Amino acid sequence: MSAEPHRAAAIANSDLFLCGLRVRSTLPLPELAPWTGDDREPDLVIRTGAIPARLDGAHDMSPLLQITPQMQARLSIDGVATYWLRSSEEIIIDPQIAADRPDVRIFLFGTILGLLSHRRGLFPLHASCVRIGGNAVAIAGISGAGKSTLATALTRRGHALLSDDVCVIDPAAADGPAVLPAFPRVKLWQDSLEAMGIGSHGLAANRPGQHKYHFYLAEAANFEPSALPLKKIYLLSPSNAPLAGRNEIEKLAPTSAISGLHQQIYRKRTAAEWGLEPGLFKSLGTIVGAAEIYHLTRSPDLADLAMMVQRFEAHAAS
Amino acid sequence: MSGLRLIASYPRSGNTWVRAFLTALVRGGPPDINALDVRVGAERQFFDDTLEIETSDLLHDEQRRLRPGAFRSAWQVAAEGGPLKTHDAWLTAPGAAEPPFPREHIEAVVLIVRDPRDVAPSLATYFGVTTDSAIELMANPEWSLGGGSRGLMHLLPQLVSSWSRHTASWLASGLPVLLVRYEDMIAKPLDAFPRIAEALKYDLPRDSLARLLDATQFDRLKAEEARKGFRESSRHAPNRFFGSGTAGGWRQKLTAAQADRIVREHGSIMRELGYGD
Repeated sequence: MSAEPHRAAAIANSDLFLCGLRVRSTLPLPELAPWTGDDREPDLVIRTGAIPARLDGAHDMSPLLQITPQMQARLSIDGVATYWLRSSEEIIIDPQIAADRPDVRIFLFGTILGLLSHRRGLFPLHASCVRIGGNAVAIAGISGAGKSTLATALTRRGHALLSDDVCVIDPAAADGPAVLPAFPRVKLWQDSLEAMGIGSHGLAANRPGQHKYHFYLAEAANFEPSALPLKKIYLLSPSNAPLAGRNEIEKLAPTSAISGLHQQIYRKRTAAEWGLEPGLFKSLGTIVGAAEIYHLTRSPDLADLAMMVQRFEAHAAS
Repeated sequence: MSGLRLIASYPRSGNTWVRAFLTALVRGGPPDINALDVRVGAERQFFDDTLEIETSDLLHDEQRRLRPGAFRSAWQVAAEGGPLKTHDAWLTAPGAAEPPFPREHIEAVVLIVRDPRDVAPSLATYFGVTTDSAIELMANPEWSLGGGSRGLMHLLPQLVSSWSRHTASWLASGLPVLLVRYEDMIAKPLDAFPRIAEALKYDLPRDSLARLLDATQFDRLKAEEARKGFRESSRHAPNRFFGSGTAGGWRQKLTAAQADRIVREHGSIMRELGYGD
């Protein structure tokens, strides 16, 4: 017997789980749970390596992002890393700092995960997602709306997290649209941590000097590893002042639901450039047909968080 | 294709009033104050969508550096959305290599100015600080908005600077700037508002002017805010965004020492703009 099978087994044992994919990575990815599924070949390989300065046939989507008609993408974050989405099965990363720094993974689990999802025919929504009463409940909205804060507050009341910030939906799942769980880590700003009584001491900063931290949900019960049917989506927006005649939670009619959700499709400009809009609209129709869509207005005052979480919980469970 | 049209002002100087008027002009009737047309030139969502990343994962210096580049790569999209409101000074912010908008794509700037002695008490109410602190902010050349570090702001960091530097920076920018005094918007609306509309390339039918001015009278906006609420009002002064809307209120609101201090700090630009005693 050669040593080869042992080595293969050792690597296989360290494979990881991300949105239903079996991931093999040469880059440390402590966010991800270990793969515990079948013994398939990896669905996705993430490795470090050199990346060409210009992809063949590339078009600049922004000063940071090149894309190609073959649905490749090259994202460059000065002083952090360059990322190459080379195929649906391969991501190459060229870090400019120590490869195990959390900053390197932010953009992998942000833009690159979003673009990978588009490539794989999935529907990435700018949302955090928790399990409430056996179903997936997504909290969508722009950055700063309070998605991660609300999702984390819900995990502290016993609801398991499926994803933070990027909620990958399989619109074609057999029993209707389902959320594919990502990993048990959320990103929270200092003010939100304080509002939940979580100390930032010992937490890794999102970027050096930034008061935004990576918070891992240590308890297994705090993470839901199975895909769950998506039953409710809340479009979250903050309002600085009470608005007369508006309730905290309001159900949206299908047309407003579709336009509201469309705005929160993650990395939708690149998806449109790749010609994926018709499919995304079809998926939107499927999602709005299967899930109830609400508008949720929140107060800017984090002191109101605890009460808001309880009202939200009651509504989402009903 | 027309370029970027900016409505620049120091905070609390009438920018939102102009936005309400332009919204009424486009909609042909009284505006919904919670759905004003003119967007803010620092809205994080625009930059996230343009750069295809979460700008909340960038450091402040990186955000300031990328702002003009984002406009450069999506200026048509930004321009098609109508004019942009901005409280930025025309200055190069820390970390940036140039002012916040790409000069070559700016088609027009309307700069609204207001007597800094009236700005100070209004600023104090809006930010929930004392009048003295507001006067302090207005003297600070490094004063920025959206630069908080403990939580996320829905606007990118904007270098507002002191009242004098802000105003002088736009006047000396070499851009096509139309200077409009808030006081003239109150005293001579029939003259001021059409000039604003024209500079921003709006078609303003002369026969609708009176009706539009009536629909966006300051008191009417204020009553609307009291009745329905205003989502853009400050958390420090919920639904008290539209204040007195008058000129010269500082004579009652400021102490002599406060007024003197403002004149001492900003006197030279104030005189240039006709803000004497």
